Amino acid sequence: MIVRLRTKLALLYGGLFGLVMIAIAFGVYPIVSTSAFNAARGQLEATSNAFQRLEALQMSQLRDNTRISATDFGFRSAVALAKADPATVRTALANLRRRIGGDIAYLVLPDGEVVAETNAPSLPPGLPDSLTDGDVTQGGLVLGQIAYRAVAAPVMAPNLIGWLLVGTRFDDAQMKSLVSLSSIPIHAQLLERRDNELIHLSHSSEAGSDPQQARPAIVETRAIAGINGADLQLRLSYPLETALAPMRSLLGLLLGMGLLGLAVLGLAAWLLARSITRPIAALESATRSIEDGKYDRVQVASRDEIGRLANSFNLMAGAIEERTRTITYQAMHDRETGLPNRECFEEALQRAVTATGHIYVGVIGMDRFTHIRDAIGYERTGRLLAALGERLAAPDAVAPPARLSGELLVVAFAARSGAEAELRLAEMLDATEQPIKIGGQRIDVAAKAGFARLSEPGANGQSAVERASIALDQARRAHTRVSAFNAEAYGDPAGNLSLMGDMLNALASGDMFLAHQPKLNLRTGKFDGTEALIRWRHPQRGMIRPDLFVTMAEETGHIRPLTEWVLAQAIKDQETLAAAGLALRVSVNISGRLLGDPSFEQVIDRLAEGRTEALCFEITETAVMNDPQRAMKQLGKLAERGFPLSIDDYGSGLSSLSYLKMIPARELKIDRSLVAGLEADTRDAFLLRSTIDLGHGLGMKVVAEGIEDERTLAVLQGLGCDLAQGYLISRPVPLPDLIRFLKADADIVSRRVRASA
Amino acid sequence: MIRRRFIPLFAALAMHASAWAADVRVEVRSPGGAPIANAVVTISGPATTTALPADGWVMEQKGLAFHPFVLVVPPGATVSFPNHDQTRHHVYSFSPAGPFELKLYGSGETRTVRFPKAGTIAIGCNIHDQMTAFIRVTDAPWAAVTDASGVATFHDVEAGDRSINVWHPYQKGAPDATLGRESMIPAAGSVTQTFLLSIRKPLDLHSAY
Repeated sequence: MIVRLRTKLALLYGGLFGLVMIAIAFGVYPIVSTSAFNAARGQLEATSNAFQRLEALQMSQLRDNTRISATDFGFRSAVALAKADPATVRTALANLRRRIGGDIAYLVLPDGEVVAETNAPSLPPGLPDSLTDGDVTQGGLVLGQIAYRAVAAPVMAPNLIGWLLVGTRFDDAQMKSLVSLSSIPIHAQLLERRDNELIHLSHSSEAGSDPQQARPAIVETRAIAGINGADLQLRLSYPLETALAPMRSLLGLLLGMGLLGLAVLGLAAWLLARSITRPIAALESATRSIEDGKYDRVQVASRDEIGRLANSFNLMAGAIEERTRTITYQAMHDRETGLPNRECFEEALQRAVTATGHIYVGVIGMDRFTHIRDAIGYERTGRLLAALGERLAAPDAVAPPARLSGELLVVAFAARSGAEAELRLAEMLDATEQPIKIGGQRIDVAAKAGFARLSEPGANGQSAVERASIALDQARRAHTRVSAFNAEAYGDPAGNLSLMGDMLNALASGDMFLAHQPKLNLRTGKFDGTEALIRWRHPQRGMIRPDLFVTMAEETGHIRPLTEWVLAQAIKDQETLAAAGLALRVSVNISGRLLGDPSFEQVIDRLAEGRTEALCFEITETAVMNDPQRAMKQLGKLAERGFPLSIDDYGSGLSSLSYLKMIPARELKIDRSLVAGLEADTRDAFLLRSTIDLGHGLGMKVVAEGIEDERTLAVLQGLGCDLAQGYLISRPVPLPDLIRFLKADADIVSRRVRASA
Repeated sequence: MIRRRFIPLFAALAMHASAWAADVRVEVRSPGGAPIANAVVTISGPATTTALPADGWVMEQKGLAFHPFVLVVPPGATVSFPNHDQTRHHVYSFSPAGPFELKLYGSGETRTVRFPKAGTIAIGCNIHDQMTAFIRVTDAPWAAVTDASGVATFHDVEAGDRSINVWHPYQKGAPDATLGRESMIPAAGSVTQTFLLSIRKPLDLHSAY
């Protein structure tokens, strides 16, 4: 298969020309060869005709001479005495022969007897029979290997008394003189057919006389009648090779011209094809370049179709390049700010991986972003972010500052340590917080930053950015300016999904258990109840912090099975306690999410029906505030069933009095933040007293959490707090430990508490 | 000419005078039925007389031709060769039966030649090749030459067993052979015999040369 256009064209043109030349050769060859052949044949015929005329003339002369001689009276007188005096006849014959100029002379008598000259070759035996009485007989005669032209004239006296036969030779000289009549170099040969065999008699030249070695020739044969029936042939031949020689040179010329033409045409076709295929090849390679993302232009000088194609191609390549650049720019840049986007940043970061030292990724987040945006509008916010990006640009940055999303900007830089990175980010925040004017309006910017090291094991650009974002969240939560990513605080985001699966398994396998923290009644000095707290001992990861997996369960919708398990276990534990003679009410924490879940009601009914004395449900104030109406409805239903409710973590949030009034709770738990470090006669103490009074006023018992020292306990007792919970009394402990504690140590604790009061 | 015609008639009349004799009529024809003139018919056998005289035979030259073309004579006959032309003639014969040569002699002159032997004498003129004649010398008692209608008539041929022979100068076969037949000649009345003879085309010497 021919794949190159150049080769195709050259072959096509060369092939066509070759075919035409072959056709011409086929047309010309027969014409030329026929004409050469005919010319040679015409010459042969002409020569043959000339020979015939010459021969007729010579024969006629011989005949006349012979006839006249036969009538010579003296000769006839001698012939009449032939029988009696043959010697006279012999001499008379010799005399006549010389007179005529013949080569042989014989007298044939009517009875067949032949009188010949001495030493003359003898005549063929049948010859006398072939002579006619009155007529002259003439023709060829062969004696031995010599041919003669012979005439036999009757000798009349006046009746026939014999024949005078005279002959002249047909010898080589005759043949030579014959061929000299021809304008072409022919070869003449005299042959006799005897018993179907050709016998050579004479020829014009030695060459070509041997019939065995005869070359192909044009032959003209003329029969010469023999005097006695002998079959003589004059054979004129003209070698085909010589005849066709002019044609051969013509064909040679034709062939030469054909080859020359073919060469010229092939070269021309090749040049033409090259002039076509070169720009095409250039176009092809340029197309491949575009495929590789290089927008080479094609240089084509011609103004023909290919030139126009190349121009169109160049225009197209330019358009594609422009469009690609726009698309690439748009794909890599943020439209609002014109700053590079996350993809662009991460790509740059990927290239920077090989740089020396540690690379840190910092995410800087503006505080109060939504407020600012609402105040100055989206367009100016964009300009603000762009200006901040400019400020963050550093000459040694490994990637240009980019906009991550919303208010988040991301930077990457090299630093020797985390401390140096923190310092660099603090400097960047300083630069960020310089007053800035956008549209003539001065804006004060405050920002926080989180960072993560890129070269940490398993970190790629993307994860480093994520970690730095999480670090920013951590900084915000911790109210610090700059925070490094804390893996422990966050957990492993990648492991979180599997954690939920593990959690569901743990609920069945027994890796979950409840820890109990007892509540001490400060008025009776007895333990009235206990708060059941979930604990998870992970087989591989050890203890998992409850706030981690509980929060995750809330977010992933697994909180209901978890609560269900806790509720069931709490009931079991309560029964165990009761069996041990310890009648304690067990408090269970109910997530705010479940307050919006109607099916949770059925769970309560199924598991805890009638156990109103054994259980208490703790609900945080903020859980109610998410969807107050629905939550209130749910809580009302629980209260109707007779379950006691407890408001948890009171004082950590907004602590709305109106909600407090509406929640049908029997217990108010004051948040540990209000209790920790409590001193008597302080503002905290007054606040706590009024809170306790508020609870009492609303008919609720007040519980203080997080009591760690005896002084705090004493102050709370003094303030009229009903129940106490904290490390001072007991840490949350597994059920067997609780039972042991309540049976053995409870009294000691109780006494100690009472003593401090 | 007159004499040649009357000699047979005369002989026949003589025969008629003797006792037992009959007329013989011989017709010579070609196989195709054409009459053949100038054929010599001879009737031989023992005879008391001969019908052919020894003298008075003439072969004249007139109009560059010999007349008659064929002359039949008995052995020993003398033939005169009168020249009636205005030119000279050189009459000759190389025939072995009687070669002779009468060198050029002029108009009005005559020569005589005696032919002693039986045979055929071909006569020519050396200066006029077309002149040819034949003299047939025969010892048969009765001889005649057929006329233009191919008929030779004999009167008073003596009765008895006879041999009738025919010869022609241009006959095919041997020049001297004769075509013969035995025939019983009755004592009275007439006999007719017909011979079929093949002859060559008469030589036209002018065309031959």
